[in-house]
Amino acid sequence: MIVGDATTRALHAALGGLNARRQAAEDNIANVETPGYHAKVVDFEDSLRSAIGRGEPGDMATSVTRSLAPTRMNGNNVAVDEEMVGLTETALRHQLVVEAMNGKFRLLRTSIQGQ
Amino acid sequence: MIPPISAATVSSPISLPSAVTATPGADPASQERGVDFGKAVTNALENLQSSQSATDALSEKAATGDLKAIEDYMVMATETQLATQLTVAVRNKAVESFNDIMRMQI
Amino acid sequence: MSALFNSLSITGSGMGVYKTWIDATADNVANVNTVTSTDEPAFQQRFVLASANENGAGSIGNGARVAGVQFGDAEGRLVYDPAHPLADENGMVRHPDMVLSDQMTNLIIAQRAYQANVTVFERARDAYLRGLEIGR
Repeated sequence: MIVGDATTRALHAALGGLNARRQAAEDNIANVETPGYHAKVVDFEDSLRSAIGRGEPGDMATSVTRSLAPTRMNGNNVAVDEEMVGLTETALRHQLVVEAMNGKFRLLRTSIQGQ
Repeated sequence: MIPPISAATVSSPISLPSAVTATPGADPASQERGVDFGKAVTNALENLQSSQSATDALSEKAATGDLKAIEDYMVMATETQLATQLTVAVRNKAVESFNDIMRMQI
Repeated sequence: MSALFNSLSITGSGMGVYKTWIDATADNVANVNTVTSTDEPAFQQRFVLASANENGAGSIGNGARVAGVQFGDAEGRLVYDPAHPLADENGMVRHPDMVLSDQMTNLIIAQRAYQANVTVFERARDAYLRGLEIGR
């Protein structure tokens, strides 16, 4: 497939990671008052970086861990302000990666259509 | 990936600097600007491959979160898009003139 | 998080600090009349210690964080109130050493600072959104 080059696959993998992060943030915000709930933390950047270095961007693994931040009295450790800020940041990064993918497709389309 | 268009095959039917600088009655200052535009166009044609690679590298940085400023990627992507469109337009014109020549009755 | 949209996490850290400050002030105000007997410490005023997240000299920092919570004077004010059930043999009880008006002032300062952080957050986000439209 002509569209399967390494950069497109890396961007596609990053979209998956960012989606997982957004869902984790939504979960955390929904559970901000649940006793004993520990915030979920999603990390995929390191895995993606080493996968790109190996030449196999599709090999990225998304890790979902529980935060070890100090808990409040009811055992809950969700910092709601940080989760809200993180949600906006994830949305902006998502938009950037989508724009990068669209840019690649636009280049291909220009070469094919000749316009 | 579509093989890159080499500048040597597309720039020969066009001699941009002379076409742009031969403006009658132009003062030296605007002639200077004309020459620079010609150079910019030939630069874009020659460096298309490297600007596409640079855009790819910045896209990968954006994916892993290592990008330092969005402007870096957005500006490079726009430059690459314009350079690609320019190259394609030049290629189309070259093909068109080739076909015209082929159709000429001898 | 990332250096790319740094302004967002910087303002987020500021919001966290001011939210903690509002929590501390709420705690103080809720306990402004908490009376204890003289053989126990008085209710101690909560002070939030904020410190900056520095990135070394000559570079922009990374917002603020709550470095810790300090507790005020444990002695409190001794008040003569023999009718109170907790009064000792001299009729004294401990009141916390706080002034309500100070807490209210702190509350207004913290609230304004929190709102200022939210404004910065929104402006930075709008700037980034426009940056994503370069070349469209």
